[in-house]
Parts: sequence; structure tokens; C-alpha cells
Amino acid sequence: MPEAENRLKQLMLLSLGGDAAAYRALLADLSARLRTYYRRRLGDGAADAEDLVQETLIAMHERRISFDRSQPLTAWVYAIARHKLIDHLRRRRIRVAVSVEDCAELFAPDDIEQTAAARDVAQLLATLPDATSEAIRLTKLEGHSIDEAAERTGKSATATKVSIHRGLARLTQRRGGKPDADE
Amino acid sequence: MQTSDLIDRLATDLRPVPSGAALMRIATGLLVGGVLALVGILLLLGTDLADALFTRAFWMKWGYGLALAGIALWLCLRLARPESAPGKLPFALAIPLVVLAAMAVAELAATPPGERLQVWLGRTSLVCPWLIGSLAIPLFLGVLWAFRKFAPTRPRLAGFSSGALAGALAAVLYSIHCNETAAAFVATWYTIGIALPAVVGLLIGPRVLRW
Repeated sequence: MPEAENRLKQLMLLSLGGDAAAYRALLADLSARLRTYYRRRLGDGAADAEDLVQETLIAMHERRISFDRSQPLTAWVYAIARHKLIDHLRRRRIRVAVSVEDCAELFAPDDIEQTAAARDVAQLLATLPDATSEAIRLTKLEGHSIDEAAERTGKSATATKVSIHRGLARLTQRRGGKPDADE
Repeated sequence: MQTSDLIDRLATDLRPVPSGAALMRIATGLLVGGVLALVGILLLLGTDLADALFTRAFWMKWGYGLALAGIALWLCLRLARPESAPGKLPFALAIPLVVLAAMAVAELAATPPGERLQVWLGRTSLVCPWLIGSLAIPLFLGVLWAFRKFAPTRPRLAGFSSGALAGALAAVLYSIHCNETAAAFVATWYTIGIALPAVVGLLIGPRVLRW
């Protein structure tokens, strides 16, 4: 993080001075990080993720006066990204906990196991029967198709599908939400 | 729109931001709001100045109002930043009140018991909070205008601080016109007047500071 912080903050300071090339480089770098962040948080909604990337860039642009030069840039960016994510989830009426300490996630090398999200998911999956959690892990987290997952677990595709559906419904209920109709 | 196109557009739109720009923006909002509040004083209350101008009571009101305004301004600048957690800082607003309340108690203790109620109520206790609250409106709008370029992630607290800042400065302006001299009067009725916009800010913050 210090490497990213130093480099990006330097770009931000130049941008605040009116350097458009530095600003372009800063926004390009941040948009890639934001894309990864939102995709990871929103899962399948990749179109939503891109909308949020753009919304966040616009918010940073319009409200860049709120950046204090004596403070870290990464914390500022992360706070805006998190605010936009929470706002988005609230509009969609999804309730989740977004950790305040995850700033590192936006600026750290990709290691999903270390993120709080991955821990949460692992904990939740552990509450399901082994076959169900395995099927969810294969399809939803590792990106295998239903057929591939069925092959690996030795069940029929239909049974796998049903078990994923039930497992997700149960997780949703356990988290206090209503089961989603289109899940 | 493609994100790369958006970045191009934003880079084209880039204008330099001087350091201290956030403070300048709040100051601009307060200046415009303050001028409107002064006009309001002239319209509502006429042009007579207080007899108490530049007396001890006058400076007490200014000291109280400016101390509260300073703390509220500091809070607003903190809450303008998305990543900032103000922690216990809002409770600093109680410090000027505690000091003034101590002065009020000392003053009342030295007052004959039969006159204490009169000292506390003065002659204008019923209108004072409402006038301060009304004068705070343009100042409050000025601060909220400033917040449109900020990134508050605690809108309730930001609304509260904005209202407290507007109320405290409204109290400073109002004192030009106010003949009350008792610390107990200021500690009670000025405080209520300042609290009015602060509570309004607390209530409407999440709606008006949404982004």
C-alpha cells in the first residue's frame, strides 16, 4: 500500500495543481482498482459494477475539494468507493456489512483469501451441508458451470442446481434477508 | 458511456484546486448567508443597536458564539472529508456551554433570590431563540451549499454541525441587537436558538447531504 499511496498521491497533488495528464493517469489507475473492488462485491452484476466505477469517478471529480493534502489519498478514495457501494446496496435494498478496515483491499495485491469478504463467505458456507457448499463454491466462487460442478460432485445437473438454489436461499434467510425470487 | 471516455471528459474539465479550498468555500457560503442575515436583522428588528454594545455582556455573547462557531467549523471541515471519523470531537461543543453555565451560576448566586427568575428570563426570552433560529436560516443554507462540493459520509452529524455553525454565527449577529446582559440568559436562550438549526440539521442531514 505505501507504494500505491505514494505514487497515486503524487498524481493527485499534480492533478489538484491542474495537470491533466497526471489526472488522467490517476483516474485510469483508480478505475481499474475500483472495477475489481465493485466486481468482487457485487458478484454477477458486472454492469452495475461499471456504473459504480463511473459514479465514483464523477463523485471524486466533483468533490475533490474534500481531499485534504495532508491526508492519505488511498483512504479518501476508499471512503468514497465504500460510500457509493453502500448507497448502491441501499437503493437495491440489500443489507450487508461493509467493513471500514478494508481500505487495504482496494490497494493491496490480489489475495482474495485475506479479505473479510472471503472470510464471511467461508464462514457462511460452512453452515451448509458439505455437498451444497461445495456446489456453491464451484459455481458461484470459482466460476465453473453447473455441469462441471455436477461432474465433480458426482451428482446430476438438476440435483446440483436445486441444491445450489436451496443453499443460497438458506444463506439469505440466515443473514436476515428475504429469499430473492430471481436467485 | 465508456469509462475511458468519462476519464477523458473529467480530465478536460479539470481545474486547479488551491489548498484551503474547502475552508474558502464554507467561508463564502457563510459570508453570503451572513449578509442576508444582517439584512434580516435590519428588516425584522430595525436599525437600533443594543445599549450593551462593546460592554462585558456583549463580549460574553461574542465569546460564546464565536467559540461555538469555531468548534462547529472545525467539525464541518472534518466531516467534509469522506474518510474522517470525528470521534468524540462533537462533544467539544459542550465546552463553551459549560464555561458559560459556570459564569451563570456564579452570577445567579450573587443575585438576591427574589430577582433570579427575572435575571434568567430577561425581557426577551420568548423571542430570542426564535430570532436566532430565523437569522440562522441563510447562514445554514450557505453551509449546506458549501457541502455540495464536499463528501460527507456522516450526513446526520454533518447536518448537525452545519446547523450549529449557522446558529452560533446567527447568535453573534443577534447580539448586536440584544440588550440582555445576564450570563444565565445567554446560556439558556441563546443556546436554545443555536440548537434549533442544529437539530434541524440533524433531522434533514441524511436527505439534503445525500450524494
